[in-house]
Amino acid sequence: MSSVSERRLRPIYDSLDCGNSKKALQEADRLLKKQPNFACAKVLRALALLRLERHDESRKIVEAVVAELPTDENSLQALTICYKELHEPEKICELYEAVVKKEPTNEEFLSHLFMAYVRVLNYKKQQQTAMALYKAYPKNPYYFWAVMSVLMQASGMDADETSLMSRSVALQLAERLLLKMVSQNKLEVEAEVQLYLIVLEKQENYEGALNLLNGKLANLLRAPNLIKEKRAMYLQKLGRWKELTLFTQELIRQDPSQWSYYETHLEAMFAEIGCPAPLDNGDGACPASNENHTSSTNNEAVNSNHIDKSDEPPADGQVENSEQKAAEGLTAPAESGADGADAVGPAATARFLLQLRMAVDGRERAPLLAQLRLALALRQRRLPQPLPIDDLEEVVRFIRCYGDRPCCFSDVEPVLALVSGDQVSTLLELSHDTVELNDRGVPFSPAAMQRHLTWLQLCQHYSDSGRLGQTRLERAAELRRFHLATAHFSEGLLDTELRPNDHYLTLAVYCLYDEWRATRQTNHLLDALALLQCGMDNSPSNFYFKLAAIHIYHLLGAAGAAYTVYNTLDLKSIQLDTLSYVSSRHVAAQGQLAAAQLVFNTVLKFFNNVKDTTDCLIAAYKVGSFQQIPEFIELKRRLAHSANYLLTLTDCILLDLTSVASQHAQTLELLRYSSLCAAALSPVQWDQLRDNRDVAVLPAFSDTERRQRDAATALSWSQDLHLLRARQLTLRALVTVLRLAPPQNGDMEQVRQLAAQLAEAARPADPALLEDGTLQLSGPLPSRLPRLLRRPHLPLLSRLLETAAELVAGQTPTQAVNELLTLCERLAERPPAGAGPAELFEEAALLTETVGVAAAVWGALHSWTAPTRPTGKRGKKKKGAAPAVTESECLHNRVVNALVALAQSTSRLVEETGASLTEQSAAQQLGHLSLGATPQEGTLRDAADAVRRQLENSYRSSQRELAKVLQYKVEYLTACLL
Amino acid sequence: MTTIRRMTCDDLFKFNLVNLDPLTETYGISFYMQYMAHWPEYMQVAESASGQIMGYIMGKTEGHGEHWHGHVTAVTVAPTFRRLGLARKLMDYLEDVSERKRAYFVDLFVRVSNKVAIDMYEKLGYVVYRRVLEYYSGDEDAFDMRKALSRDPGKQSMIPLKHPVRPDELD
Repeated sequence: MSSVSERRLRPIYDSLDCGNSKKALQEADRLLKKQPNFACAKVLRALALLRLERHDESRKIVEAVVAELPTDENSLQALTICYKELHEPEKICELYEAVVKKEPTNEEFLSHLFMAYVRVLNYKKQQQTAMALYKAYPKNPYYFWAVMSVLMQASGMDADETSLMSRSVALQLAERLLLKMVSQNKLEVEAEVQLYLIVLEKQENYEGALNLLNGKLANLLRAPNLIKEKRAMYLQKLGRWKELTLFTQELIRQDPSQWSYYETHLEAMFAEIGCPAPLDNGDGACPASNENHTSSTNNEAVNSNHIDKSDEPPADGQVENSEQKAAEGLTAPAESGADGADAVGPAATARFLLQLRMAVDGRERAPLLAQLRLALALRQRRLPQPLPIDDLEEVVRFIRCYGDRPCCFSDVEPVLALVSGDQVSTLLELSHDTVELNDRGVPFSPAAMQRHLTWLQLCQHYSDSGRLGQTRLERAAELRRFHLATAHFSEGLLDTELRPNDHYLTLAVYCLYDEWRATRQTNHLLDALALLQCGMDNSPSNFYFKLAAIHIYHLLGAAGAAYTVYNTLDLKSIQLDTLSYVSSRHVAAQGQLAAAQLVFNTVLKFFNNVKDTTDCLIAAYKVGSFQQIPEFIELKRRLAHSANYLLTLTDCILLDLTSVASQHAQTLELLRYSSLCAAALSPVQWDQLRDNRDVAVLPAFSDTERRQRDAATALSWSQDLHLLRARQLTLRALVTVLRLAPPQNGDMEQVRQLAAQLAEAARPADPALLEDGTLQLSGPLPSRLPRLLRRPHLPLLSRLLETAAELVAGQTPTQAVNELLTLCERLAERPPAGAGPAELFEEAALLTETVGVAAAVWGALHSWTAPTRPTGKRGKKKKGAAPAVTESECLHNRVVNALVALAQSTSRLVEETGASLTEQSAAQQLGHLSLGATPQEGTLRDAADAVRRQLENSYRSSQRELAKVLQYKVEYLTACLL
Repeated sequence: MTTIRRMTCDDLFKFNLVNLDPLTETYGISFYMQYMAHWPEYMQVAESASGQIMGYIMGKTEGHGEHWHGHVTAVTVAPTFRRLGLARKLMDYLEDVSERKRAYFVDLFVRVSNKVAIDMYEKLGYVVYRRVLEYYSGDEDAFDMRKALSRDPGKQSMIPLKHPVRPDELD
């Protein structure tokens, strides 16, 4: 393109770049006036129109330009952008196919064609294009693009399964292609060698891969540790355990802090002696053990060799009794055979780790932890401990050495299984002795405080063991006192930093939550919230506090309060997929409709903007980052099939279509302008859906707790999938009905089918789907599904659709209407006395939505059956003059009246719930007394007041919002009377 | 006691312990992907023995001639895993990669108010090379800090500039 044209286009590009599509359009018009046949200007004009949402006009221009097939780079680039933004990547392929046909050996065009195929994951055509490129321009990258494309055909990640070459054929081909280059000495860069390794790995040719690492090609591998890690991986795959044991030992020596080496080392060593996996409740020791040690577990030994309780912090290299014993073991001759056969085995590993521990800087935790892991693994396999080391003592040693680090507990927690039930008190006692307290019993330094916190986390780990001699409430109160007494260690910190003493409060909140679980007395949750409020006031960046507060506010049905805290988390980008669930699934369900819109919109905006990850995929080919390519494709899938996205989208549209309209015309209007509806109704690939929730941010303190969390996560996942199914069906049914105008023959069949599916969804085959999951602070809140299924919401909608279909067919479905009326009455029954606030609001919000869906369905029916009588008052006046009402009209009206009655009874429920909760909250005993705060202490009382205000505001606004919607629905339904 | 390993796309789904920290920016997905595509060896996470992400580093190489250098885009450690020397380990790693790529120096930008970080970088051998005016949103200035690598034995790249520069004057 000439520089003149370039200069003339510049203003259009600039306007597009800065997002001013209107100006771009003007600039393009001006230029086209002078040069009406300027192809690129036309395309840029089309792009501007596209961005102004004038899709049809834009498309026309694009089609016209493409018909003339411009071959200048600017036009082609602009067309590519248009197609990208129209979400028609296959058209980019077609475009470049045509251009390449015109100029078959143009390097630029061929390479664009290759990238166009990358966009649509057409690996076969990628391969052909890359080879054509290489033939015309023998450059290495093109060749390796082809190899990678072949490899991808073997991966089964193809968009078009029909072009799938058989896996082994593809892999062989990829290898042959590579070998050809290798034999000609043409591998030049790291990426190419890495690709070779990937191909060998896929073929499980680890022998070959090892040879490659030993050969001269390995010189091209530059990334630190790459060769080491690959070698370890191949030895592992080949089961060359002895070699791997010795190799990882060497790696550990070189870098004693890299934990993965220890893990591989232990795995290899146990595999080598024929004891790969731990025995469950096995009966007998592993066979291959030829070591003859007696177990050193001996309680008396612990008590007599008790650990040094000097006041000094543990110094580096302190050698204690058992260590001396163990050190003697180091110099003792090998126990098992004089032929050095124990070079690999537990004894050798134990000695190696002990030696290492004494050799490295005491700040390095790994060797000691690895010793503990070894001891645990031996015990799980019923193998004797090779060195006379006392497990309990070693656990305490770890706590003594590293208890002043915030991660100490999470390090040591997995090996606490080494401590038997009757040793727990000793463990707690001994580790408490490592904490230095002043005469008021308060840690006297930040390090001592951290030791104290480590000890308290141990207590929390054992909190159910009944060994702590304190009630949960006493512990909570004490933790609160410690929090106050250590506040001075946090002075002068910026707001962006977490306070080192924050964890006292977190632990107190866990205690209160556990107490609530045991007693179900709400005041413990209120106390917890008051503590959290204090915590957030004092440490505004502490996200543990925020997540806990959101969880508890939702438990109390106070979605408005939860939302306020949720906002301060400031979630962005991918966090909107992984963490938004903490609130997004409950805000609307608890009656905070306005807040829900905001949450939904933010989440959906992220998903709508994320689509173009394809450019990164193209970049990966360009730079030769081949290993990232399958990862990128997988990432794209994980996001595209996020269940969180679909749940949010479905909730969002249902909320839209069922809440704001007070007459049917408005619903139709909303549907017409709902830009997201098509996405929500596109077919769901259920087996592809992903659970992208990150449920592991709040800490779990024991294995049991983690298992419960996993179980709760799994249960809520399967429930949410069913919930999504039910809500998708509801939405589909609603939209189907709204779009029939008026229904033709056969249309109602579809409605009947949806009705049947809804009825089916109301009765899931798996009874587990109806269960309430276990509640725990460190886990997700339970799914809304059981609440939906416990009462006949879905049967009502199903029956309503069937009745509508029959009325449309000119029948008089008296029986169906009677059943509908019964279902309405059953739904209008009050929740049982003693139902909690969350239950009440969720029930009320569900009813409101059900009424909203029903109103829209009946509104549609009304609009078809009374075409001569437009909705609204004018219609009714005419009706007065009309002849007697027919039987089917009478049935129609009975349904309307029943729905109006349901709306009204829901209104009463909402009002009573709001009023009684606000009252209850006001009457709630202030929790701070039970937490041992003095009356002089203002902060906790202020915090409790703030919490109460939050709760009341939230209850009131949920009440207000639901009442308003219900009022609209009464109007809506009344207008449906014939 | 940590495993330092390459960052993968799956890590983005579970780095919240690190990214909920207010000073750690959560970027758009394609930002991470671009780094993974172009500089995979510069994207490293530190993982705990129990599999939690403790922290990570993102970086790149750029520049021409004697300005060819490693750049630290982000280095961050979750609150629970601070004071273990993790940031140092991650920085060592990045410097190692930059050495292998024959870079002359490593540089990074830091808010002038972030005293904790500045102190840490100074301990690691970085010096303030220049001040960049209004570099951050909210008009805060940045320090451009540098550390010479073995290819710059005379440490020419670390000689501080006398005057601050504006962001548009950065090369």
